[in-house]
Amino acid sequence: MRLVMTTFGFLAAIVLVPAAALAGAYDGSSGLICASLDTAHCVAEGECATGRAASVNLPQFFKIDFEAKTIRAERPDGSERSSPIEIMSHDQDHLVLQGVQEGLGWSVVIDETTGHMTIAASGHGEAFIVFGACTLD
Amino acid sequence: MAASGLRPACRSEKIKRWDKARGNTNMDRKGVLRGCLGAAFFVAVCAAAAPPVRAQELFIYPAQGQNEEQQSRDRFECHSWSVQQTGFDPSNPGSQQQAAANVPPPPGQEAPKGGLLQGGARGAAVGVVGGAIAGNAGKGAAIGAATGALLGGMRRSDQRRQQEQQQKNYDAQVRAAEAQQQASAGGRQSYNRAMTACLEARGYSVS
Repeated sequence: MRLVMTTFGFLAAIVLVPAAALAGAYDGSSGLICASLDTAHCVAEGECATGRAASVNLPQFFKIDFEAKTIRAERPDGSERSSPIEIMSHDQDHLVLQGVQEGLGWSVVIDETTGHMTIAASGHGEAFIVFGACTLD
Repeated sequence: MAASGLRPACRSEKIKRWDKARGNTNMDRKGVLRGCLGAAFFVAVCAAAAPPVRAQELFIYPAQGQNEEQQSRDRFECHSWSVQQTGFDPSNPGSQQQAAANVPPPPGQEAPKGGLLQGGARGAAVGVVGGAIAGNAGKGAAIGAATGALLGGMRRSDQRRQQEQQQKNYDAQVRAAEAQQQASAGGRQSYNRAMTACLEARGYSVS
């Protein structure tokens, strides 16, 4: 009986420990690489257009540097685009990053368990929504 | 076309009157044929002489045996009178049609890239910006390069409005050109009516 209990406990540890370790993988403790997948762009008149990241002048991939509090992407020519992170917080297993740039207020919300990412930015009578995913850098 | 259009007229009573005026009441079948060919030639010459073919949609027959010189004079005078009455000159139908032809292509037709936006005309206008921006190329890339902004560098409303304004301007141009074309068609109809009235008063059969 003891042998069975020991074996079961061992197996449970094998399964649960990595899951627990992974649960907080996207909590801001490590840098992330994020991919922008689908986007939606809406205007005040109520019309929306969907597309890919490039259609809203967003790079396909960007990095989140939590130490430097910066989101940055590199162009093919080596030049860089970046946005400073003003606020970083956690809520219900989600990492929330917020900032302001060139009249647009934006927020990046990352599921700390799955890495799923949602970006919302608005201003000038229009709004952008970007869906994507992040992984550890 | 001219010959087929004249065929009924050659069988009409007016031909007989024409023949009578020439003192040829017993014209044989060959003579009738000759007259028809002459009339067809006249219509063809008229059609070829005046540049706007549509203005010559009228079939004009010298019902009183007017000679060619008289016909030319009458036709010219009736043309001048009709232009004066209607304000429409078929030899200069309009800068309007040229204006319609000169409407530039809609903004955005030259912007093929991007292409994933939806939503009709506005979507097309917006797509121009998206297309330009796609792939870090063109204007979009230039904007990004200028600002270096990432999330704040997403497409800006002033660019979108500029594209929308271009689309609206184009739509307005197309509508204006269409209205001018319709007005031009109406002027041509009035001109033809005036020509018919004038020529019939001078002893021509017009249809």
